[in-house]
Amino acid sequence: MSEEYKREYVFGLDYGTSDFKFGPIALGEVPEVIENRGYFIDRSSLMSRIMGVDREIVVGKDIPRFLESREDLAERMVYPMRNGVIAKDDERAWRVIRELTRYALESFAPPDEEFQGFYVVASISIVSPRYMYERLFEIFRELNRDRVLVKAATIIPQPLAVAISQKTPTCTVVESGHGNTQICPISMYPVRNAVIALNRGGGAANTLTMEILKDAGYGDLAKEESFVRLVKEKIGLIPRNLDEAIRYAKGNPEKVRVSLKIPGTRIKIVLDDMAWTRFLIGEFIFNPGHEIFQSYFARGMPKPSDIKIGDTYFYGMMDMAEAVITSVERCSIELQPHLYSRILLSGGNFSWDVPEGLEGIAVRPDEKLRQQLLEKEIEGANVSIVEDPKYSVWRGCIVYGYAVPHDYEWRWERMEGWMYVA
Amino acid sequence: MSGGSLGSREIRLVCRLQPGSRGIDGILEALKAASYTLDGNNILRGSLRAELRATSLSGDEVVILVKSAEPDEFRSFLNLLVRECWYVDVYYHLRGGDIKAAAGDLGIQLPEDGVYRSRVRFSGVELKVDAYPKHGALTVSYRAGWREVNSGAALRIHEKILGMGGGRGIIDKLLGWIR
Repeated sequence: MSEEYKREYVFGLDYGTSDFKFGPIALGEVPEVIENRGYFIDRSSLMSRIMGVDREIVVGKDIPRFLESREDLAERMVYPMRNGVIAKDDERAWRVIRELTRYALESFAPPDEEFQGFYVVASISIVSPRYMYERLFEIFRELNRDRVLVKAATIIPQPLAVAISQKTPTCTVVESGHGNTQICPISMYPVRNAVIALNRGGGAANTLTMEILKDAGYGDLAKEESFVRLVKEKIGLIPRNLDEAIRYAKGNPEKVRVSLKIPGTRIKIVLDDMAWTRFLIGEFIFNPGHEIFQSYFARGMPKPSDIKIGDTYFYGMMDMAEAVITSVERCSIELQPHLYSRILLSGGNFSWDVPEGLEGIAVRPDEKLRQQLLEKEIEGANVSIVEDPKYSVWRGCIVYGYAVPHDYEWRWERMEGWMYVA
Repeated sequence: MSGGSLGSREIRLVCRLQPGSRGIDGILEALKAASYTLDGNNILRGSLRAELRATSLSGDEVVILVKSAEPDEFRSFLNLLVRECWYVDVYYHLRGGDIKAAAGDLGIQLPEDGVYRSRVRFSGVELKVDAYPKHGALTVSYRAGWREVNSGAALRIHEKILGMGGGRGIIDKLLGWIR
């Protein structure tokens, strides 16, 4: 198998906590995106048998066509990577991962004989334990039973993929998805003992948005997560300083009030007097410890809690700047200034804009973190959001797969190289 | 929050360096000598915005992503690269609504589903077509060397794929392909 073949058939898989991004190098810079979830069909039901449904799990864009009642949804819909880590014995979650992987590879596998399998680069959370690597390789092998889809595979941690996509060998990557946030210093390789994980991401902001919608009288609608996420994305703002932003919003309600029509429905959300709460959504991502959130916790909103998964602690309430500082300070003193001088923000949870007219009051995530770091006496930090933060991990997978020679075989001690599975 | 769209067109250039060449340094020096501005990984001149994306570990290939360029600026860039390289593989990645127009211009009827692959000739050059209609993605690629650039074929292919689809007018063609 030649190097030329490999370069033509590199395939990236980014197992995000909420979205699964995938596609071959031939797609260019933008991968396909589907939700990282699977729906278990009740195959014993009469309707399934009448309709001839022969699948057990549905993934991808077909899911809505198979959904049953809301009650069934909770039981049958599985989000395997919610925390970035799948328990070793969580068979349902692993089956969804297998199905998603099959869906991705089959979507792009050419029918001709020249094709002898993709060179797959999969990316998972930096805190993933070794058994996840083993299980993924096993899945790639299993998928080859019917038809060879994977010639060889390699697995890299998501923050490393971001650093690769940015061609930045020394940096601190803050990768924030739906379920968690990973802070990882990189000096050629990830500094694994300096990794800090936060048990919050875009999902935590969704939870707060849900409470805000309830308070605004939209309690019924607030039950559907995809709806809440849409509202968050459309109305959420990151304040430069939360107290000042609230004062500004209350003094200038016409500048922040918002009305949102949900496409394809009759639903319209209007935040008028409560428009100041838009700033809470962004603040919660960076600093859930602000006292203003106490009232939400007191009324039953779940507090992001500290949890331990495998050997890793996921901190719930640590603010973003504190997490970056804690992580960097676990590295050598000589390295620390270099890590502050290049902080890369990546992941869908950093896709925030500043609406016209609110410049200075609302800020983008890079400015917010820079401000937070300054308040903690970290001067001159260079924080930037990678281009298209949602896709940077996938792009890193493609660049990595392209660069690593085909004859560089997988080594468990270094966790790099190609594992031939065909 | 923003959606973060990239747009629907990209060009990826995979430059195969000549055996025994100085690797990427030779290309970078040639770019500087031709008044291109190198800013980190970015390559800028006139309407051209490109980015160095990757280098193979063996140092024999360099990948450059062209983000925008008017046709003449693109031709000039490609001309410089083929002088410095053995050859350049040019990949046009199209997404969404552009793919049907581009495929139609190349005389290809895309299926609704599956993976479609074929080869077509245009201006004496063999173009490889990879299409994923279900995902709205089309890649057209060819190998460019001295002959393809100097004969004008590279420019004609560029215009055929990016500039002539659907009802695009002369102003669009003059303004280049990315807004």
